[in-house]
Amino acid sequence: MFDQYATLTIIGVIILLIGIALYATRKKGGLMLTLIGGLWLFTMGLYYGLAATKLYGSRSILLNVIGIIILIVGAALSIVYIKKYLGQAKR
Amino acid sequence: MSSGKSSTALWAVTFVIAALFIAFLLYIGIDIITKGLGNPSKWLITQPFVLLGATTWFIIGGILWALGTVLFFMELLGWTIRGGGKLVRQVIRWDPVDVSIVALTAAVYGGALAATGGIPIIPGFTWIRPANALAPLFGVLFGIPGALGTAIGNFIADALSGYLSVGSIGGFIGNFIIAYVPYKLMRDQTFRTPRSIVEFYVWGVIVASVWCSLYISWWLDALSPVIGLPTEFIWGFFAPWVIFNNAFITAIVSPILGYILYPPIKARGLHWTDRVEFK
Repeated sequence: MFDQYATLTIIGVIILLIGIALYATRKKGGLMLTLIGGLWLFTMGLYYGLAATKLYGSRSILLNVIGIIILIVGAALSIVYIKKYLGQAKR
Repeated sequence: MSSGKSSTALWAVTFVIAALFIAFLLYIGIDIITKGLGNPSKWLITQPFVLLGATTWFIIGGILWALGTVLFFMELLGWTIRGGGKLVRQVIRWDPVDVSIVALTAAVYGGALAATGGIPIIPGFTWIRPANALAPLFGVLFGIPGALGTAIGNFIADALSGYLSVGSIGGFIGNFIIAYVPYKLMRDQTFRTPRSIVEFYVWGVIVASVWCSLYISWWLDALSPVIGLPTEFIWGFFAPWVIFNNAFITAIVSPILGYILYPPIKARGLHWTDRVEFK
């Protein structure tokens, strides 16, 4: 039986490993691939977590709340980091 | 004086085009409501799919899938097509700012899709995704990092809405395309001229929505033995629904958001035109 989730997890691991390898050898795009792989695996972690708690595929309002948390925390962290980096670059 | 008059006339024509376009999409929406969500074969938007048949759409979708996939990998590998069809190197810095832009757009798009998932924004339309309006904007404002963030955001939203499967790989690149098409094909990306607005309706609303829908639909059909969706459902419901869902929200909300967001992003040097070089 073909396991879709295992396949998606393996793809995420491969992207992450290639990204880390490129980043370690200071090749361009390494950071990008590491981020894609990291967020891909974050998504798979989210799926496994939701599946384990039987929330996956449900119509629970908790899923909307998780969406709001991802939106606020993700956006806030990114904006703070961009501001910090642009501030450093100016100096 | 005459240039002022012609500018006013151009704006008037643009507003009429936009209003007609939104009215047409509203008509399609009303048509879906009156005929019922359970009768997709009767919807106006489904008729081109009924007339041409699943095989024809599978072929058209296959061509667009191949083209979209080649462009996706080409862009990530640092190659792009510029004016006159020339293949050139594009230098994206992929520094902490670009990486943060990917994370920002992924979090905002994925979070917003999940936050509004299952909520009937319009009565009877629990699947309307208001966050779809952000996808083409992220491409126009941030270029490839924005398009990549859109792709990842959709992937995260799939996990939260219960649609995660190998089909999500198609959704990943399909959503990249929604952002990529207006980024690549709009000549005026300011949202401040009639030309910019009309270009957005052509590339960001019509072409991007159709391409994304056919891209994902082809992928779902090709993998139907694994995913298990019947061909009739994919071409008779999913494909027309995705076109409507994307185009409807994008046509109404995105130009307004683009008008608001363009100046602060440009002023902070985050617009893609200030961060990418072509060789």
